Amino acid sequence: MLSRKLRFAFTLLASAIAVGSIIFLFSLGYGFEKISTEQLVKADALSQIEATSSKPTDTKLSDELISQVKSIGEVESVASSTSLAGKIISGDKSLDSPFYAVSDNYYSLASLELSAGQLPTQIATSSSTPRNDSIPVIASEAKQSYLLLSDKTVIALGLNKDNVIGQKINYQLIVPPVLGGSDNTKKDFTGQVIGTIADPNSSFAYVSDADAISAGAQNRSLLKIKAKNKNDIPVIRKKVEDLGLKTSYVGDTLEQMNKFFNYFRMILAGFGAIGVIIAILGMFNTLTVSLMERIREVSLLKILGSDERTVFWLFALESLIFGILGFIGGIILYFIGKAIVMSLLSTLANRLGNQMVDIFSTPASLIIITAFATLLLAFLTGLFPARRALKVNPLDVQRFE
Amino acid sequence: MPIIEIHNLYKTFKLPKREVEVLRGINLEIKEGEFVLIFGPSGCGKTTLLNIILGLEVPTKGRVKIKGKYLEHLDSKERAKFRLKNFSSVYQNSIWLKSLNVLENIALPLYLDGLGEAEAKQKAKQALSAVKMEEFINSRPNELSSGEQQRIGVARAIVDDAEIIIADEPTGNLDSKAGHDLMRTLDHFHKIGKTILLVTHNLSYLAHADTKIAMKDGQIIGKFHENALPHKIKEELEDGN
Repeated sequence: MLSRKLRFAFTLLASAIAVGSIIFLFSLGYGFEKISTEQLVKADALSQIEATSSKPTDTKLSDELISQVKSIGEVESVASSTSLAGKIISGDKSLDSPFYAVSDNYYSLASLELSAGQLPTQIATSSSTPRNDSIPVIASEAKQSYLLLSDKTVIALGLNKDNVIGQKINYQLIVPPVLGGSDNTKKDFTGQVIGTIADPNSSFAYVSDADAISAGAQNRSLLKIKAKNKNDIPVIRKKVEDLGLKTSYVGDTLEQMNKFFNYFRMILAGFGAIGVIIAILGMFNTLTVSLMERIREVSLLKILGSDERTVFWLFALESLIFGILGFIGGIILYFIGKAIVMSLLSTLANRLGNQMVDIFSTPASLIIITAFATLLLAFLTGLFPARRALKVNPLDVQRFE
Repeated sequence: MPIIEIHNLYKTFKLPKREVEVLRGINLEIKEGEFVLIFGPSGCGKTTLLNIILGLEVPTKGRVKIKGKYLEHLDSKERAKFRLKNFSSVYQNSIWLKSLNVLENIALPLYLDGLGEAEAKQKAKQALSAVKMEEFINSRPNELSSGEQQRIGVARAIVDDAEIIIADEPTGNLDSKAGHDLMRTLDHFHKIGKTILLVTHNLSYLAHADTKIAMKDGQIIGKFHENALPHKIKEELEDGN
């Protein structure tokens, strides 16, 4: 009796582990996919393309070319960015840093996440609306020469994150010849820090494109082109490429990522399948041994006049019970496993000073499909012992006795 | 009026390398309420004959008519239902559902017949009382002695009030006292009108039956009503042994 209970318990545990690992692995896969996809499709990115010079020496992103892009009928707006080298000076500290000189509408197309302060496009409106006292007042004229610094830049300059907004900082822009500067033209500016960008890992600064023009830049490095309609993207790409520009589209990356995650899921499914096969074999063994142990009972039921359906469901139900309990156990194991992993990640994130991210995503469809598949597999596994039970000849049992 | 009619019954078992003819032209009529004892040497076909009557085995040739119904007209599902309604059986080794107690095991045929739990248990208690085993109501059958188990087996056989009781060597594993107790129990059910078909090796039970049938090599070699074994049949049984 004890060995029967132990066998039942171990078979159940194997089924639960198989179900739990399937949900765990797939949730992990979906979680990674969700994180990556969300990063990519922020700020309406699917209705935008980016254009750069295919050969900067031949095709330059000049004002004339930008006007041609703007005149494409399907285009709603065009924002530009010029990548420059430069230097930021704060007190006795000097930091070499990349600069992005961007048009005002660039911010509405890019997905910049501020950790403090405001975007230049918000300054004009904020001066006429009531403000929270904790936010430092930024002079509206600051929009003329402003700086948006990454968090890492703020730290590298030794500035205090809490009162950097509103400070005036000197910076120098260097315009390379490819952008129209003659022999790396340099120009010094003084600008007010209006915001900080949530990026603790990279040093960079955003400034107004007026600064780049003032420093002698005649061409841009990159255009962000927003389509009136997402479906027009292929047409716009064709027209932009005909102008000699190279385009890139987040949808291409998404497609590649989908392909990658499809392979990823197949690999995870492979691992899960190994667990499922082991669980099925365990369940099959338990049910078959159970039939052997109960063959006299099956024989008795048949002699008494039990119909075949009763005998069949006696074993089929046992396998379904394995399936149901295995599924419930699997769900519990999944949540335990998830809690352990998330707890470890939380500890790690706290130590590194990073934000905690949920790397699991468990869509309801995954649970439903797993439940259905578990019951189906359990039923199919029980089918063979159940059919064998039907074929038990009670007379053979008697003769043996 | 015959409750069981068997005409020209043959049964052949096909083995991988040969065929074994177990029953060869059996003709038999058993009247309602009759106590019939079948005896003969091992392998003469007694148990096969019982199994064909129960519908557990299909004859190779011949007809079996029970309560006016030909068994060959019933499929396996209908035969199972027919068996449930009309037969009760007791075997040399009683088989039990280990997870059920004595009362529940006795009530099993009633559960299979779709009776409610309360009514089934009430009838099971009455059957248990008929074999004087009330004290074991909550025991597990496997905890009881062979004799006690056989009496519980009889209780299960009579619980659904089936008309025909089939008993295949029910005293085979019992000592003489327990065997005689069991035979007295069968006598009791014979007296209240049950038809009893008993297969045994033990000729000391001849007196319990109305009709005695001797079998040898798949055939009926004699049928008699006396309580002693006729000389002619005795000689024939001994011939070749």
